[in-house]
Amino acid sequence: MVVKNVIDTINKTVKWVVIILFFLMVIAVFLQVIFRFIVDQPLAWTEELSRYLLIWLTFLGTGYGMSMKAHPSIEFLYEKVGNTMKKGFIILSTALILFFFWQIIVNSFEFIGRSMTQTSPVLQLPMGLVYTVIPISSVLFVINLLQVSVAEWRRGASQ
Amino acid sequence: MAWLLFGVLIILFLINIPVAVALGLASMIVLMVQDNVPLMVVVQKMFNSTDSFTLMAVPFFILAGKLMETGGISKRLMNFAGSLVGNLHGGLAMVSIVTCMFFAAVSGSAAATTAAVGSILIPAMVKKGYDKSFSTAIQAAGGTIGVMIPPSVPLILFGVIAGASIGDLFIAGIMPGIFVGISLIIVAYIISRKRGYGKEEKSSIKEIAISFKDAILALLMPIIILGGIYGGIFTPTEGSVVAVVYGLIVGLFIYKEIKWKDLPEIFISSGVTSAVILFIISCASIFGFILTREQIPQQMTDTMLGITTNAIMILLIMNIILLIVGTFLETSAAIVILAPILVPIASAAGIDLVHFGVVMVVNLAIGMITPPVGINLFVASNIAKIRLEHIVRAIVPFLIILIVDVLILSFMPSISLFLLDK
Repeated sequence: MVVKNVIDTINKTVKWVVIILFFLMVIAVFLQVIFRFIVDQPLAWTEELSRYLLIWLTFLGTGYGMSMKAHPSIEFLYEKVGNTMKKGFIILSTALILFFFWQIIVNSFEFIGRSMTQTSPVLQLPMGLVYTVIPISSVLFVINLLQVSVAEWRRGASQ
Repeated sequence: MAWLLFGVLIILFLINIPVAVALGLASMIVLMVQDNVPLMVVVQKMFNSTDSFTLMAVPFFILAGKLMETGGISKRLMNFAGSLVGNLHGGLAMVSIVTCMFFAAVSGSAAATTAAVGSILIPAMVKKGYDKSFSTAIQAAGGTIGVMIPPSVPLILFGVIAGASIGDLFIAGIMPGIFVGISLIIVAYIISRKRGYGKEEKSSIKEIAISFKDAILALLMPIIILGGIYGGIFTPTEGSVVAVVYGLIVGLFIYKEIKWKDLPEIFISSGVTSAVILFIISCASIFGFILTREQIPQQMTDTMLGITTNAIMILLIMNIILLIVGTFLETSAAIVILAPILVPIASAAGIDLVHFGVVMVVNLAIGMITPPVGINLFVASNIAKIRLEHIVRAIVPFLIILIVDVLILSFMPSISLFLLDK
């Protein structure tokens, strides 16, 4: 129960972060349009900022989306097999996805470490900081994946 | 290596791993087997592929579509369509397709078009005595126009991957979208005529004028956006943000059907929908990297040209591949996997890139109304609360006409290209 509450709180927080990032992205790009046409003074920072917002939106939205099983998969074989096979599929696929994100997390640390001293052209942000979204979202994805897999497993067991 | 890559990918698909992760993982496994590429390249590719101003048009057009769907625009478009074609046999069936065509011009997604139009018209049709499975099938079929008439998310993805102009692709999608719409209307008319579905009252000129005035804000939007993009006033991404702001203003202040408290839900659901698509792009970039390194597209091109050099035959073969893949792969995934392989073949055969993009998207749209993974079928059957099996038979006539359409569009490039003066 405690675990579930913690996961729910994390997802709720991420949900609002995604909403705010998306909203800021709309404002940044719209300002770009306004400043170029109406004020006739192009802004330098809007394109860069909005690109980084898009990256954060994409990866955080990916991790959050796992909590609602938003990622499409090819389900037709899974739906046809019996219960024992289903459980086998759940274990195998969960293990493989964990392996994927484990590799992503490990390698992203190296990537972030290398680029901390490198700064973005306009906003002067350390690029390593922008990249931190990759391990953060990977952890979020994994947490939600485990919760979804456990729920699927139990549903199979109760049938 | 090509066999390993595709073999692993298919196995991962079959054990129900999300398409995006399967693409990333299969590529990662190939890199690990090769043992000479540091895996950091995976992270780098995933990151760089989403670091794109052009791709930002995807979330913005999805958000704009969602705002239009919630903001009362679909209802007004329906009333206008009703005043135009309601008095034909099977009036409401005609209305639903024409409304889909209008809605396609403000939305970039087929599922959103099906949902927006279907949630009003399916209940309306059932109430007027139309067969429930027919009403659902027509909505699923009409929704496919959502990705043909611009804006279109799949056309943006194709443009980004194939390096084609998104403005050109949008313009090239207009006539095929209208063409497909008319063909669906003809099929719906024949079926309605045979079953004796009724007509709605004929609207007077005055009523047409009133419904037109009501719908004008919705009809004006695509003109502003497409005119702006094609006139070189703004980029597709800037056009997409203008669409968002337009949708917000109309929904919040003019039609007043969106409440402030609805906004977080609209943003998060559009945000997740976009993230899912962009994550597929992100993982597919590693896949694309391996394809290029292993020169798989060149090998495929050579093989294909070894079989035939006839452009019509090549296009026919590619159409068959797309039709098959489209039935079990979701559209954006199919584009990111197949475009890097098929585009070089198409250009080697002298097929216009923009034309090919439109053919590819129309073809994959057919996959949206075929089981097992027809997204439009799911959406429409959810709205109608009818089991999927029950609409499968009703969808067949629409499926046949769509296949005929895609062949006509393939072999008459002028339908997609004539607005571009090519």
